[in-house]
Amino acid sequence: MLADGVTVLLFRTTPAIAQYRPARSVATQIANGGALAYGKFLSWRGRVTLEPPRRPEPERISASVSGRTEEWKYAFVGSRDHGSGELHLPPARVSRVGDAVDDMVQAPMSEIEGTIALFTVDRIAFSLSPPIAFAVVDFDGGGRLPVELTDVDVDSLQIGDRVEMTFRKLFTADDIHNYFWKARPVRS
Amino acid sequence: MASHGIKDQVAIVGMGCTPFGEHWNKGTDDLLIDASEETFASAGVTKDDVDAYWLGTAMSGMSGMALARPLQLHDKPVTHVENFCATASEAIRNAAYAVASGAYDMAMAIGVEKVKDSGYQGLVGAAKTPTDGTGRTLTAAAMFAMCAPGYGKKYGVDDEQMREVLARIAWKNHYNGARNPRAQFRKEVSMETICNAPLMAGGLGVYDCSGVADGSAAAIIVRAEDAHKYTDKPIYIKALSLVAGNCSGNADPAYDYTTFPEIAATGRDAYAQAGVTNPREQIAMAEVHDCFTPAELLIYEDLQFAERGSAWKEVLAGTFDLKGDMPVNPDGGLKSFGHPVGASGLRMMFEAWLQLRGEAPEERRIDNDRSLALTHNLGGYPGEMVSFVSILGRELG
Repeated sequence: MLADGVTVLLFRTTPAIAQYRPARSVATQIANGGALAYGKFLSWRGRVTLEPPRRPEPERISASVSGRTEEWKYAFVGSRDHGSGELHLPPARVSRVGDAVDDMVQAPMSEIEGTIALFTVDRIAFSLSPPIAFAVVDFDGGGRLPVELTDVDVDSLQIGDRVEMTFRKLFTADDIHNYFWKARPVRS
Repeated sequence: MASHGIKDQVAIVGMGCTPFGEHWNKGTDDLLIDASEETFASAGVTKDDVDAYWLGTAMSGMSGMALARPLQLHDKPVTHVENFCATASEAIRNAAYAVASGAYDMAMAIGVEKVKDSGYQGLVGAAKTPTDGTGRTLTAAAMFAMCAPGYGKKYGVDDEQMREVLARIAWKNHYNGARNPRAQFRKEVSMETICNAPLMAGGLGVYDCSGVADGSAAAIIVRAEDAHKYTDKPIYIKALSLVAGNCSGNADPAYDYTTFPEIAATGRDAYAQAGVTNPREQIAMAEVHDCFTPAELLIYEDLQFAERGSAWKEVLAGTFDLKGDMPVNPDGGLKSFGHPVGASGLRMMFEAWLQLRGEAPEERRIDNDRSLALTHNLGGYPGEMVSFVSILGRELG
C-alpha cells in the first residue's frame, strides 16, 4: 500500500541546557582539526570521484544489527567485567578474563583518550579517505581497539601518540550512510 | 580433558596437487577433478574405493555436493568444511579422525579454491553476514604489517635491519619456488627488487605478500596397518593440532604483536602428540604459512625453531634456507604458490609427501637424515587466528 505523509519533530530546550558542558566543545573540536588537502575536500563534497581500489566495496549495513548494537555503534559504550575489571571493546557477554557470563557493567568510552600501541597504513583497503591510517589504540584505564585514524598526517605518526575518539562517516552503501568512531590525534 | 592425538594410526597413501596459478581456463570443478584424478592414481584406487570425502573450500562452494557433482560420486558421504585459510588442513584432520575411529576404511581430503575469478586484489571473504558496519575494514597485509615494528621494538631490530630480514625470507621462498614446476611464481627475485618494491601496507612491499592463485590438492588416508596395500612408502600422521583463537589479541593491551599464541599452542600440542622434544633437531623440513613475511619470522619462534628474539639473526644466517640447518618452505611457500584458501594446507602436505618419500626434484631435495616433516597453516590475523600444525613421518614409532 502506498501513502504520502510527513513527520515533524519539534525540539525544545529546558533550563538544564545552560548547565550542560560537553567534555569536548564544538570550539575545541574545531581547534583540534587538522589540515585537509584540497583534493580530499573535493572528494568528500562529491565534486571529484576517486578511483576505488580493486577491493570489494562495503556492504550496506543491517538496521536490525545496528539496532541491537546501538550503544556500541553510536555512543561507543563498551563493557567492563564486574569481577576482573577487564574492559571489553566491543562489549561482550563472556569475560575474556575469568570467564564470567553476563556480569558486565556499561563502560562509556567516547570521551576517554588513548595511546597508539602500533599503527600501519593500508594502501589497498577501501576508504573515503585513502590510504587508511590505522592504529591499535590502548585506552586510559584499560581496553584496546584497532581503529581507523582520521585528521592525521601519516608521515608524522609515532607509536605512543595520544588520540581521542570522534564520530565519523565510514562509507555509504545502497544510499545508507554508515557512521562509527575513528581516532584522531589529541592536538590541544 | 586431553589431546591424545592419533600418532601412527593412519597413513597417507596417495596425494595430488594441481599447479597453482591463474587458471583462467579451469573452473572449480576442473581443479577438483584434476587433483582427484592425480590422487586416485597416486594411491592406485578409484573414486568408488573411497568410503568418505572431506571437501575444504572457503569461498568456492557450499555443501558436499560441490564435490559430489563434478566427480559424480554415488551415494558417498561428503562433508564440506571451512576454517579460514586453514580449511584444507581442517579437511584432512577430520578425514584422518574418521578413519582412525574405524568408521571408514578409506577417506579422501581435498581442498580447492578458485580465487582469481573475482578480479579483486588479494583475498575476498565469502561470508555476507549482515553487520552493523563497525568491523575493521583493513586488509590482512595491514594487520600483519604491524608485527614488524612490534618485533623490532621489542628486540632492538631497527627498520633497516628488519627490511633486510623480511626480504631475506621472501628471497628464500622465491629461490625455492623457482625450483618447483607446480609453483605460480618460478623466478628468483633479488634482494634489491624485494626491498624496493611498491608498498602495500605499512612497511610491507609487494614481495612481502603472498600471491593469489587458483589450485587444488588432495590426499587419501587409510589405517596404518593397511597402508602397504597401496604404497611402499606411506606417510604416517604423527600429530594434528588445531586451535581457534578467542580473538583476544586485538582487545587485550597485553598483546604485543610479536607472537601468535594460537600457533605456539598448536606447536606444543603437536609436539606432545608426536613425541617431539627438540623440533630443531628432529624435524627434517617445515612448510609454514608465509602469507606475509613478518608472519614467517614470528612462526619460527612460536614453533620453537628459534629462541625468542633470535629468529631474525637465524634468517640472516641462512638457517631456514633449502640447504640450511632447518629448511622451511622448500616448495616455495605461499610466496611462490599464491594462496587458494581452501587448498593451501594440503599443498603444504604435498611437499612433505614428496620430500619424505625422496621424490622431490633433485634441485630442491632436502638433504638431512631426519624422518619428520611439519606443516603449519593459519587463518586470520595477528590477535585473532585459527592455527593448525601437523607432523608427518615416513617411519612408524
